Amino acid sequence: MAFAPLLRGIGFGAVGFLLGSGLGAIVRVTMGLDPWSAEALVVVGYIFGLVGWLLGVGVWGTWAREWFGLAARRGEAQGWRRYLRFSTDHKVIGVQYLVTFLVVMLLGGVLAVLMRAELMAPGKTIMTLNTYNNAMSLHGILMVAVAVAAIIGGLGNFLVPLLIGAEDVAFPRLNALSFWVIPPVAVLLLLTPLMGGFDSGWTAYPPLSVINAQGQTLYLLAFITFGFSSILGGLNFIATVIAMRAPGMTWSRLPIFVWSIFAASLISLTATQFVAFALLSVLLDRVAGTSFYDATQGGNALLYEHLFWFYSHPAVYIMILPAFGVALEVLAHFSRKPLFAYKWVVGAFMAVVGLSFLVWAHHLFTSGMSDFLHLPFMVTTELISIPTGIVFLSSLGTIWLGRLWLTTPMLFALGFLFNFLIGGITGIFLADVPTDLHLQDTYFVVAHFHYTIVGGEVFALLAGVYYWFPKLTGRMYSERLGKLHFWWVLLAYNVTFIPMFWAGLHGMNRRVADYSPELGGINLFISIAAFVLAASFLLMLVNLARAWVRGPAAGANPWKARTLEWQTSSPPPAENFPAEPQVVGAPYDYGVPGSRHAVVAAKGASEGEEKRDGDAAPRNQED
Amino acid sequence: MAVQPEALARHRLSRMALNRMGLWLFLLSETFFFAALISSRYYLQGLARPETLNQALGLGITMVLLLSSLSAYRAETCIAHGDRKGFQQNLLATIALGLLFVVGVAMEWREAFVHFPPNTGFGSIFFTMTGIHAFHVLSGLLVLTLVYMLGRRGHFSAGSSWGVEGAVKYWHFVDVAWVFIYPTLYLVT
Amino acid sequence: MQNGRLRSALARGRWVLVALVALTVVEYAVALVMKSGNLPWMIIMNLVDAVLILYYFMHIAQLWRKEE
Repeated sequence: MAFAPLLRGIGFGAVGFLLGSGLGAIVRVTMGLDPWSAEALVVVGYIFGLVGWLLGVGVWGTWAREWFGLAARRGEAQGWRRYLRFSTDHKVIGVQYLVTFLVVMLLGGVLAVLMRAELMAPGKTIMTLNTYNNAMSLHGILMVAVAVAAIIGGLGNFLVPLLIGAEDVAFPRLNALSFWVIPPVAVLLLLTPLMGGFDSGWTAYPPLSVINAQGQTLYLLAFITFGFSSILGGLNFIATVIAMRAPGMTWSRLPIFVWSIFAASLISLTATQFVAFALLSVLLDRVAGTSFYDATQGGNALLYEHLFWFYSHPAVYIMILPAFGVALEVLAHFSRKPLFAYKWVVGAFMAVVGLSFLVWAHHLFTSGMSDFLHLPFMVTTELISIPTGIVFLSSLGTIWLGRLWLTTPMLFALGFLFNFLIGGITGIFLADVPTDLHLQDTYFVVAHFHYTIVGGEVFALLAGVYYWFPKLTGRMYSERLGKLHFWWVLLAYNVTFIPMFWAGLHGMNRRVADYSPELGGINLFISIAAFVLAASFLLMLVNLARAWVRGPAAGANPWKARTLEWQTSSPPPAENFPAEPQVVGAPYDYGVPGSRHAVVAAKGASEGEEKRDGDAAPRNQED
Repeated sequence: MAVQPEALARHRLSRMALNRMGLWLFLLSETFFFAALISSRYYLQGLARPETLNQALGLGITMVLLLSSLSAYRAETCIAHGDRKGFQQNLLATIALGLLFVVGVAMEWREAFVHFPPNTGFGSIFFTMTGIHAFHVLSGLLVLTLVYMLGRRGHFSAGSSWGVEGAVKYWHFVDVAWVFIYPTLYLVT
Repeated sequence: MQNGRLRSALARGRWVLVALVALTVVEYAVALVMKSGNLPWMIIMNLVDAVLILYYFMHIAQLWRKEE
């Protein structure tokens, strides 16, 4: 029964929810309170329900039985059934993440289309102001989740063990656990409209988030759960990169994508705890009667902003560092040149990790925090442009005089560079206190962060999806449609977001359903462009879905790339490599005479029969 | 054929060393959570401390928790040297001391509800901090109890005691967290 | 031999506990005597507490020592 694990998870989850909410009601009675409080019961019920869901979906059978001295059940399903169960194979988990978050991205995109439809004309058009606020908030949190998890969870899980020559991550069952807490997160967020939605934006600042509709509670539970997943995922990647590298895979031979995931994982392992506490304190204010954010009782709403941004600014580097990794990886392979200034890039990643913890208060320049904090946070924020600049220079140095192979992934990587440059430069105006005081909460900010996250990270995500699609599925997509998708996205994207800078400078505030009539023209223009942009993703969907079902076989190494993931079949077997790879050189030494990255011996083969990597015709299953 | 977790042991780090690293990374992560809690205390309340805190009780439960760390250490040391009886006795003592600590916190809460209820500034911090710490104590007790049950059934030996080591390390971490929480709530002025 | 090693390890644990208890008592006394500005002293003593537990009870050195 293919759906048995899911049904068992839902069943256990439902039992857990009833148990928990019943327990909550009993506790409330013993404390002399009215037993019925939807929010409090939902919170307790959810905690038990989550545990029930996880146990049911597979934790009990493959793991928790051991805690009671029972033998864990083993065995993997085959084919598509693997994707519907608690599989510990990192490749299955990677695909699970990727598909889940592509769906979430499309949902968030639908919300964006609805928002743009409302904004086509000033005044109320298709939805109430409150509905707009809810749609805007939901769009925000869904897309933040995509940005945090799609590259790391999807591409990272699939590729990091392959790139370092391991057969799985360090903790495979923990890895499965971090994926299977995601479905409850999605369900909670999609259920928020049933409890009045949440109109606080994805940042959920109190005091609003303490006193608004009960949907906010679902948001808080969802975000905390998501953070849990993010922490465990980060932990797993750090341990994997430290301990699971194949012989010879020294730190200076790690592919740059692995470095970027490692750096991002350092942030998600640690900083995420701050947002967990920030959200928990709002939750306690809502359901447990504490007064963290009630100024009349000694609370202070600014505390939330500090805690929240102590995570959420580093979080943008959780988003963008892996994007750098994908882009540099693709640029090096398709320029057929060694990655320029590899060691400087690694240093820059680590500098970004360090600095990311010292910049959070630039989100608070207009919040009323002490003035003396403005200067130091302005300086640290602008310092970050040095390491990001190094990454940028490395990408330019890599394509410089290269023999560029302009495939779809390469085009997206180049598009990433173009968009991220705009995103980075406009960021300077927001880091500068004098300009930020005017630009804060306008569409200038909206345009800026969409340039870094959509124009930057999502472009890199798409580059990665197209680049590794043959490895993930064993099939090749249509290059023609892929290139069409690229040009469509690039043009529609820039036509949508460039005017937002202008709108912001002319007084268009963010997070509002209505605006002054003279901004009607520009908003109509942006909305139409946004619809064209949204439609482009259908093209990608068609292309990839068709290729996955009946695309031509891709072969082991369609790009003739040197890194380890291409030295095994597509898709790779469960154990990844026929025999443990031996790494003997740098990953990107294209054109360096006599260089090679790794030796992957066929199972039981003698020395002479080993598979060679590099530009020489690669051997794969087809030949 | 699927890759089973134990098949990974042939890598350079032993499974044990890998588990250790994973646990330490988790504890590092948890440290940030407690750091968020402690910095919130200073942000909201500065160095203010109510005179109505029950100082004797605070000192008492701190001593209980420190003592439980010793018995946990003894349990781990005993099993590592093959002393099953000492292991079981000390593990039981640790669980008992942990429960005593929880009772102490519960007594503390009864008084705190009167002097600084949760809807006051200090109360918010006090209840959240002790509550979250107590949640860690309870989860630690759950794990220690599982380890104790497994031990009674003959699991663990001198060469194979990761379950004990992991549970005990987590218990010590809960103690370390309290070492910082105790002065933050009771002593700092 | 085995027994001797166990005994000395247990004795070490007792000494660590004595140190921890002593430090806690000193913390308590400092809080009684210093009515303001004791935060730096507390931090120093807490760090010593933490190092004792991390090193002797949690064997943090296992992380960088070679595996036996």
